[in-house]
Amino acid sequence: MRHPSEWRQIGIVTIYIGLLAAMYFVPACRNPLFYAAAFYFSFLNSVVIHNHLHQGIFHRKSLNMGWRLVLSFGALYPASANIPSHNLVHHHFEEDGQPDWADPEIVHFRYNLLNLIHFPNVAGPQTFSGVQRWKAVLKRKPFTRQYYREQFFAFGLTAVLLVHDFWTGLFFVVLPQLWGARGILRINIIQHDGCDLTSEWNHSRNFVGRAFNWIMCNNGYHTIHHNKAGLHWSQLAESHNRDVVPRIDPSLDEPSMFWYLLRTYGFRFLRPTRASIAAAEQEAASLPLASRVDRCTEAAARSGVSGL
Amino acid sequence: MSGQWAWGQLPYAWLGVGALVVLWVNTGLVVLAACRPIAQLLDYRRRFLGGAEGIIVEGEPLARHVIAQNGRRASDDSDRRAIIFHDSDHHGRVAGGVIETGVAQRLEIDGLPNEDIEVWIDEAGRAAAVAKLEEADFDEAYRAAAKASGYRREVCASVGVGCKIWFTDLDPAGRALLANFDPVAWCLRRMVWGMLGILAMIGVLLGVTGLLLQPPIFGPMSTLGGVLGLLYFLLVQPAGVMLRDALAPPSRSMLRGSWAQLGSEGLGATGGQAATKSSE
Repeated sequence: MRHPSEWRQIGIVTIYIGLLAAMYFVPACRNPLFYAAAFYFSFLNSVVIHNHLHQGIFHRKSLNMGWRLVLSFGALYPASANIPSHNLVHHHFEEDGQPDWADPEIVHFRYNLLNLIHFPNVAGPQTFSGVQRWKAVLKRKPFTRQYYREQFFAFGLTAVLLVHDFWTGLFFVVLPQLWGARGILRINIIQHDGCDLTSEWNHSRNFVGRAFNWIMCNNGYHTIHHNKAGLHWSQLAESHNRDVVPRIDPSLDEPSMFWYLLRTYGFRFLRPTRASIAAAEQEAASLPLASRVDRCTEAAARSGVSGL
Repeated sequence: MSGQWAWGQLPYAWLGVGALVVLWVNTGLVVLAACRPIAQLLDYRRRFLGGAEGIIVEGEPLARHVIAQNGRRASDDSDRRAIIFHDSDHHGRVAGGVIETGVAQRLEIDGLPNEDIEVWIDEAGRAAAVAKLEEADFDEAYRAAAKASGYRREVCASVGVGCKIWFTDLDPAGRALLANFDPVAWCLRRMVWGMLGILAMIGVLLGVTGLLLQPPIFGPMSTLGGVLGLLYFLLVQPAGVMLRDALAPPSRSMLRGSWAQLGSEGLGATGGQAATKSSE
């Protein structure tokens, strides 16, 4: 294993798969506690996909590829889709002339809660059609082979469970899987809506609660993750406090995601208007940063796939 | 369905109702989202109905639809080299000219600012504009596409002397429209497609729901409804996005496309409409 902190990610996925297996095979486990936990851990499984596709957990390539199969089953989509959709396209925003497939502006409801609910309905298909285009034209054979292996494993195993017992499989495996997959898409609107995507430091919203970041493997620190995509997730908190805090608008450092969601989607009807948030960045000393495209080339190299 | 229900366990009936509610709410959102482009088409149609049509007699070109694209090297395969394009911007330009709108009626129009000018060019016109660009040196473009900044190009589809056009006056907001095909009929056709698409989504969902609720619930027919409901949930989302893209006006619809050559001899270039279809 590359880093001792990876045990946390392995633990998360093990618990998640254990919950699904327990609910599927043991009727006594089909209770609200297990069910709620399965939905929550499904989202965390998608967080682990994100981290693993930036930096593989293991030294050995075969183990990393095998781990992707497990993660793909957990989220019911090929984990390798993250390479083009997240590492290469989302991390660039629109700097390279290609619209982000998960741009917060792809949803337009006046009632803001509907934007949050509907977002995966647009971002998901855009992502997968984008990956198909990328895959079809690139003809990257190792990527394509791995992508199909993950698809075969994820859909195949899920299909076996559905054929064996459709309703149990649907309620206790497929619904949690879909929740996690759609949840990780929703994170895009949560972390970027209302931010200044043209700014170097104020393009993302951070959730900085300590407990939240422990279980989320530091995925609350999103600005520094964008700016230093090659940084291991265990180092994000320190780097956030050192480099990001002096340069971002304090409103982009949210203490609690739960409170943010309630405030933004529960207690208000309309979508918040974008405020001028880049003042802190202009006043602070500048830091040398590579272009977004170059940063992503580094991230892509770590994923074992060269950049577009 | 396996096992007997015991205290503390989640009843399958509750979960089934919950899943059905999610299915309906999600479809409702997809349908509501599809209403937006239909409403926009209605507005376009209304504006074009208040406009005029004529033949361009001066102005070469009178107007252009410009699609800024960025191309990236797409393949290192020895047998096929390709550049894949993404649209980064769409805008219209009216350079000005003279339009004959009827017997002895000539309308002179000045150049207009780019903002809020929408120029609708048909697919053949856009494909011709792409083909013209791809007469250039592929090797040079391929080298540029390998750089971080990519290979940038502007596809300019234009209308000039002899073309029949439909156009509107500048409205109080400074917006104007111009098309080289009958936009009123086009809007109507697309609105009908949109409405049919929405009706199909609702119709299929009603059918799936009917099947799901066939007694005995969770029996064979109901289970078939469950399978179809799951497939429907997964497919209605791309269907909604496809509908949105199909209803986009030509001034904003994605061109994308790829430019490929086989081997180092430069065989088999794809361009224009064929290239667009190859990657969309």
